[in-house]
Amino acid sequence: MKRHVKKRLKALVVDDEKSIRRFLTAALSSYGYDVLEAENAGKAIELFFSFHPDILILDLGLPDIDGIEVIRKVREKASTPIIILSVREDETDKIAALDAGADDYLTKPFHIEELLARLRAVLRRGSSWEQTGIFRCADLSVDFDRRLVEVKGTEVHLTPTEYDILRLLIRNEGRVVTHQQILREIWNKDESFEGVDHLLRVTISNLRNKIEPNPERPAFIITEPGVGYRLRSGI
Amino acid sequence: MNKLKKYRYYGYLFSSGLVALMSLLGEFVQRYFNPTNLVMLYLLAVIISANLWGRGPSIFTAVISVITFDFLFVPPRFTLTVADTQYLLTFAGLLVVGIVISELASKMRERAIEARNREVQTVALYDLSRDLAGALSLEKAVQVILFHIKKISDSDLTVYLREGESVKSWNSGPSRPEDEHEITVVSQILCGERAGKSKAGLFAESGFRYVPMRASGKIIGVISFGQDENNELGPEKVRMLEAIANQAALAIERIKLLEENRQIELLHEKEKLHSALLSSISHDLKTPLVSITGSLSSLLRKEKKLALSVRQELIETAYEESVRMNRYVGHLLDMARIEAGALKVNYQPCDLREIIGVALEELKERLNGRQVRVEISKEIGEVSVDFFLMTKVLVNIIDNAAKYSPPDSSIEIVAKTENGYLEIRVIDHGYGIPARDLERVFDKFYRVEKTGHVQGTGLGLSICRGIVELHGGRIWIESKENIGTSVIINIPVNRAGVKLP
Repeated sequence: MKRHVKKRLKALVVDDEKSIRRFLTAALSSYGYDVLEAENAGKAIELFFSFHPDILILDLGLPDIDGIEVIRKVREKASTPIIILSVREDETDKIAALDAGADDYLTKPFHIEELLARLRAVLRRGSSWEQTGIFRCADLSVDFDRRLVEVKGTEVHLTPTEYDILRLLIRNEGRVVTHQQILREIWNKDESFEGVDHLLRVTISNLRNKIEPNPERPAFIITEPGVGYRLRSGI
Repeated sequence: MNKLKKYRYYGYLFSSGLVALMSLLGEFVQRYFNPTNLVMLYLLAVIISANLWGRGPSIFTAVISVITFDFLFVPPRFTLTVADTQYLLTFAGLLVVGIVISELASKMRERAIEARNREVQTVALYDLSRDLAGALSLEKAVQVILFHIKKISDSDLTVYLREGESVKSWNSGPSRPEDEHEITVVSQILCGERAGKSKAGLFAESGFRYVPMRASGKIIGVISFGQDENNELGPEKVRMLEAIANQAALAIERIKLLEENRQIELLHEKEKLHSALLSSISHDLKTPLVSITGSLSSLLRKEKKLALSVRQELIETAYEESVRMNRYVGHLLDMARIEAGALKVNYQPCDLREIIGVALEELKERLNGRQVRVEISKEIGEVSVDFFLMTKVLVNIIDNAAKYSPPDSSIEIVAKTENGYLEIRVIDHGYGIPARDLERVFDKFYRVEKTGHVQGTGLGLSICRGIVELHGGRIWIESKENIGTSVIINIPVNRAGVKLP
C-alpha cells in the first residue's frame, strides 16, 4: 500500500466505542494513514469540515444523531469516500446508508484486510484499464474498445445487457453496486419491482455461467445478500 | 307421567281379565268341585296380579274376585244374594288372604325392583368411575361426565367448573345461548351462598335444576339440567345424580392436582435445563476468552523476550479464538431470536445457486480448499425463501459436514424440487452419527460424544431446525456410521411464482 501512496492520506474514524477507535487508529496509522478520531456525529461533522479528510470511516449507531444523517450532511458539500461500519446485520440499514451516499460498508466484526481492501477500492483513482482500455483479472479479460470479453483467451459472447452490467461492475471494481444502481443504470428504472428484479437475477446468473470458472462458487461476481453485487478486486 | 298412569291402568285391566279367565276355568270345573274350593283359583289370580302389577291391582283383584265368586258360583247362582251364610266366611277369607298376599307380594316386588335399581346404579357408578379413572385431562373427564349423565336424563346438560376466578362451562347438546339467570345461580352455588336453600342436594329454579359437585368439602362445580317436561327426576335419580356429581368432583379434583404436579415438574425440568444451559454457555464463552487474554497478556508483558515464532503463534491463537467466539455469540443471538419468536421470515424470490454461493463464500476459510460439488437440478426456478436465513442454514450444515468428515473427502450439495417442495441434501463422507443420536443432534447444546474434540457451539442444528420450521419445512438427518451423513432440508416453495427461463 505504502508504495502506491505518494502523500499520507487522512482518514476520519467515527465510532462511539473507544476500543474500536483505538484499534482502527493503530492499524490505519501503520498502513500509512493519518487518523482523526470522533466519538459522535457532532464532532465528526466539525472535524470533517475543518480538516477535509480523504476518507470517512463511519459507524451508523452514534449516540447523538444517526450515522445516515452524517452521510447526508457530508454529501451536501463533499464527495469524499465514505465507508460504513455497522454491527447491524439488517440489509435495509446498509441500503439506506448507500442510498444516502455512502460508498461501501463493512459489518462488524471485520478483518482489517477487508477494511483495507474497501479503502483501496473506494480511493482508487484511475486504474490501469482506464488507460489501456483492457481490464484483466485472472482468466478474464475485457477489451472495452472492441467490446470483447475473453475467458482463458477464448471469446465469450455476452448480450448487450450482460456486457453493460459487467462494465458497471468493473467500473466499480471492489465496491458494492446496489440493485438500485444497476436498475437505474441498465434499465433506467428508479423503482425496483418484481419483473425487473427477476430479470436482474437471471442476467447475473447467465453472466456468471459465461465468465465464472465455477458458477456455483462465483469468483468474480460476488453476491452481497440483500444489497447488490461486487466485482472482486485483486484476484 | 302418562306412561306410568297407563301402566297402572293396564294392571287393573289385566287383573280383570285374569279374574274373567279364572271364572271361565271355574265354570268348567265347578261340577267336580265344591264351590268353596273354587276360591283357590281366585287366590291364584290375586298372587299373579300382585307379582306382576303390584299392590293396587292385586287388592282390586281380591275385591272383584269376591264379587265374581259370589255372583257366578255361590248359590243361588247369577245373583249377589247368598243362600248359605257360611259363604260369608269364605268371602271374608278370600278377601283377607287376598289383601295379605297383595301386601306381601307387592313388598317383595318393590324390593326386587329396588335391588335391581341399586344394581343398575352400582354398575353405572362403577362404569363412571372406571371411565373417569381413564380420563387424564379435564376436557376428557367432562366428556365422560356428560356421557354418563346423559344415560340417566335426556335433558340438556351443562357442567360448570370453577377455573381459578372464572367459571368454565361445557354443554352436552347443541350450544345454546347463555342464560343469565342460570349463570347467576351457578355462581351463587359456587360461592356457597345457596347452601342453606339446598333441598336434598338439588336446587330447582325457573325450569333449571342444579346439582352441586362437591370434593373435599368444597363446591368445585355445578351440573345444571335444562327444562324437560317429560322427565321428572324421582328421588332415585336425584340420589344417583348426586353420587355422579360427587364422583365427578373427586375425579376433577384429582386431574387438577395431577395437572398442578405436572406443571411443577415441568418448571423443575426447565430450571434444571436452564442451569445446564447457563453452565454450558459460560463454559463455551469463557474458553476462547481464556486463550485470548492468555495470549495477549503474554505478548503484553514479554513481547521483547519472545521468539518471533512464539509471538506469531500467540497472535494467531488470539485471533482464531476471537473469530470462534464471534461465531458462538452469533449462534447464541440467533437461537435467542428464534426462541423469542423475533425472527421473521422475509420471503423473497431467490436464485438457490446464489444462496449456496454466498454460503460457500462465507465458509471459504473453514473449507480450506475442500472439494464441494454442487448439483442443482435444472427445473428449479427461483425459490421463495429468506435469503439470509437460508444462507445461515446452509453455512451451518456445510460447516458441520466439513467438521465431521476427513479433510480430503468431498462434500456434495444436491438440490431438486418435487411436488412443490424444495429438497436440499448436504452429503458428507465422514464419520457418521450413531442412530441413537440422530434426533438429539437437533437439541440445543447437544454434541455427539465420540467427536468431543470437534469445536462447535452445539447450536448450529437447532438454529437450522428453527429456521427451516419457520419456513414451514422439515429438516432431518440420514446417517451411517463411518460411511457418511446426509442432512436433508425440505421446504415448501409453492409461493415461488416465477421460473428461470
